[in-house]
Amino acid sequence: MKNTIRVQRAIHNITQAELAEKIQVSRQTINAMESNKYVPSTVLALKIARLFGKQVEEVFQLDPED
Amino acid sequence: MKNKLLLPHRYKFLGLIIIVPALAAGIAVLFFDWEWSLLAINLPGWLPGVGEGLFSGPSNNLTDELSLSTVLLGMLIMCFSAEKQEDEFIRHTRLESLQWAVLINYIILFAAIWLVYNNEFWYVMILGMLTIPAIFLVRFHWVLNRNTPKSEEEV
Repeated sequence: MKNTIRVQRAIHNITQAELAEKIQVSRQTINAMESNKYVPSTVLALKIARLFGKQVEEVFQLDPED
Repeated sequence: MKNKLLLPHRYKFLGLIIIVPALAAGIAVLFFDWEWSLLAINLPGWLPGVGEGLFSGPSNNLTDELSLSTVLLGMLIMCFSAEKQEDEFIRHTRLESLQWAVLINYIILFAAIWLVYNNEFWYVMILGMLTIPAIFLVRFHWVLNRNTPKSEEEV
């Protein structure tokens, strides 16, 4: 699964640390998701999408391999 | 989701403080036959393998028992301490690191069974008691550290 978290962060002008704090996760989690090393749970994906005011599929998309 | 099996984060440092002197003592015992004379006692004879009278058995120095159990205790405290901000990625990393630790532990043990003979195998058994928590701690913190953003990357 790929995601556009980094792009969304740039649009909203927030750092990884600020995003982590807003959705109550560690900074490592944001970093791991942005570098596609970790696929978040549905709950976390929904939280991130809601924070950016987007539909989940605008932030997270399936990879051809998924 | 709260993980009830974890100690508060500050225990991680307590574990480390316990491990350092105990590990130093353990290495001194294992490789240099060091003993702290204060810890010499007579073993109770009813313990398995001791024999010789019900309460007055042969003398034994407890430096090795004390250092090994303290190192293990410290490692377990570290392994079971929460991170500052617990979340699903950290729980995932913890579980995955445990999987790695068990696997590598048995790969080392298999190799040692075929490669280490006679009295030297004693060291494999002693150190083998520590490999699962040791590999776990290294792998877990390595993954977290690798994913910790450096301040200039954070934008």
